[in-house]
Amino acid sequence: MAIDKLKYFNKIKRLIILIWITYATVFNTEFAVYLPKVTDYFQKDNLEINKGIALIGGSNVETGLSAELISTNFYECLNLGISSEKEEFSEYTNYIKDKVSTDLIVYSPASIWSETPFAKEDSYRNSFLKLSGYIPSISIISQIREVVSPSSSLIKFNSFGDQVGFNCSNELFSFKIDQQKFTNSNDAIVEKIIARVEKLKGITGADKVFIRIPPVYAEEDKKKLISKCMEIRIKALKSAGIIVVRETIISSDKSLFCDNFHPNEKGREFFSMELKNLLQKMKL
Amino acid sequence: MYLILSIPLSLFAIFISRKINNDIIISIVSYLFFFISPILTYFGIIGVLTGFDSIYTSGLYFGISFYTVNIGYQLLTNREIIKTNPLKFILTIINPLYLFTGPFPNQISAKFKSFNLKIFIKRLEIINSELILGVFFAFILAPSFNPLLKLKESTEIVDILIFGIIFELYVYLNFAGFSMIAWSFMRLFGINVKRNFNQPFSATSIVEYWQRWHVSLSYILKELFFKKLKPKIGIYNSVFLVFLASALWHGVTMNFLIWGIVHSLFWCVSYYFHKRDFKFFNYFLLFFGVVIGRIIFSEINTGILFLKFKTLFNISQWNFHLGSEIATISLHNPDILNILITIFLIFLEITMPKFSKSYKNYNYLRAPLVSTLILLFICLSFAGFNSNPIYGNR
Repeated sequence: MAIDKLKYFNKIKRLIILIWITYATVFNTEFAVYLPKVTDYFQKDNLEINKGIALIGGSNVETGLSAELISTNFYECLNLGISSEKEEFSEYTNYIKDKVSTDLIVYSPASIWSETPFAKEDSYRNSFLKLSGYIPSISIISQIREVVSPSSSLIKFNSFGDQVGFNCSNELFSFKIDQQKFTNSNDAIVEKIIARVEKLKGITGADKVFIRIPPVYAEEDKKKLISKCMEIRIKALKSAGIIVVRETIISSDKSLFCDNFHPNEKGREFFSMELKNLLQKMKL
Repeated sequence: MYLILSIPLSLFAIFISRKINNDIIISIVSYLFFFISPILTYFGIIGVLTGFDSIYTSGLYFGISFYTVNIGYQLLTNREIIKTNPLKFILTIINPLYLFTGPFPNQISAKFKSFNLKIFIKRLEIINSELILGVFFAFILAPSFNPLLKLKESTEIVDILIFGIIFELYVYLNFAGFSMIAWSFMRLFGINVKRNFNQPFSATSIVEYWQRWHVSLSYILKELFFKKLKPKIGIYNSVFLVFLASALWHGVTMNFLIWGIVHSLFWCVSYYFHKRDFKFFNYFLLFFGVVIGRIIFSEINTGILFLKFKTLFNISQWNFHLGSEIATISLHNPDILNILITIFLIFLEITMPKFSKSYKNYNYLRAPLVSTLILLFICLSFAGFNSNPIYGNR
């Protein structure tokens, strides 16, 4: 009797796992409904900038910079950072092309910290497959919630494009601060960024696209090596004629971060002021 | 990378076991193996096991605290097998499953059978429930506590106490979960090892708690230290030295020294009460010891640790309003659900054995129906491998 029961439930378990694998497969296709970026796009849809500074990039800009702070007693500034810019750059450029007609763009590419070139450009799902070993990073429950109640996951933005309040999602990233494991300097990454800068200039007509290195957290003993590797990339960018805006690129101050790559509220204020001071010194 | 160190150390143990017949020298070498980790920790080559600090500085040291203890233990207790079958010994030592979270093997595998798919599937039919429970603990429940771990930074009394409880639950779910996963894989491949956790919160005293928490290390400490010391210096002194050895294994830092002393004291008092049947006091000591112990365990900065003690024990300054740090934490709904589930599971763990002694080794959570429901929950809520073994890799 007990063995029959065990076998019966094992069959159900197999069925559950089969459904889950099917879900992972579907998630990897165009039918995936996990698009938190869509809600961000929607929220920032009515924002546009004709003069001043456009801050663009991924979640490190969205959560880690405040255009409002930078704008105070300085040039008009707009935060157009959207999560996953790195993985969905084409979609992102389509989004900003009608919104940015200013001369100056400060672009914080998360990809500058990448270890390896992307397997296939703009393929979030491909990188998802590669990174998480064919296991969905977002749960079925989240997917259902996204469909049933999309507004529940909306993040509010103000007229500067900054998040209202602060939200550093730990859905994808652990709170535990890992050190940035950046230990090599791959030229392919730099070439990719240069290509993106050219594309940005082309679609927005901006004269200047500055590259800002998004600050990351690393333990004190790792800073030297990471910094050395990053310097090689910065040098390569500069020799391609790109202006690199550099403030703190690696910090061991945990109180500024909510994970190894995203500043927290205190960090947002700190890094925004740092960027502002730097831009002020540049006498734009 | 870890093979660069683990294989030569294993070969050295084989050499010693073959060439030296003097029991005293063998014992000294065994203990030296045990103390390799503390020595490396002292010199900063590998990290301490607070759960917050870096684990190791190079892949070379991956799993060193696990396999050096294992070599020492096997050398002391299984010298004949090391002599006669060195290959089995080396394969046991370098088995990666032992290295990222335990459990420690309690024996050198008797024989390595060739892989048999039929037997593997048969085992899977039975063992999958343990694997499911491990994944549930380590990958679903434990990460939900992550946002609360920043309470460690606070020195306000409510925050400190809540952190003590939260961190104990977090370490439990993470460590027990990964141990269950490792145990399941070993059993699937026919390797017989002790379970690392046996419902520690079902304990009625701190003495029993340590019989249920990190069982494989407790077993080795018992064999290496307690059994040898007890006839010579008595039970209380032996327990003190066992906790001291355990503390050093975790890290040669002031907090672990204090942790060892505090836990040995609680153990001795609890043992004294147990002999006199003062059960109520033992429950109190269990809760107090576990929470205070975990606060000490987590804080490598002695200055902050003493500041936390000052807050905890300066009764005149007690202020039981919510700490400033806790107010800054926002939890997602799934995290709240997972934390509530954890509280329910702990409640079950505490109460179930009171109804029947048959509720052990989490068998009420491994029952076919419950296990199926847990699997369903995992599949619905799995959001990625965002959990690392808190205890492992060093």
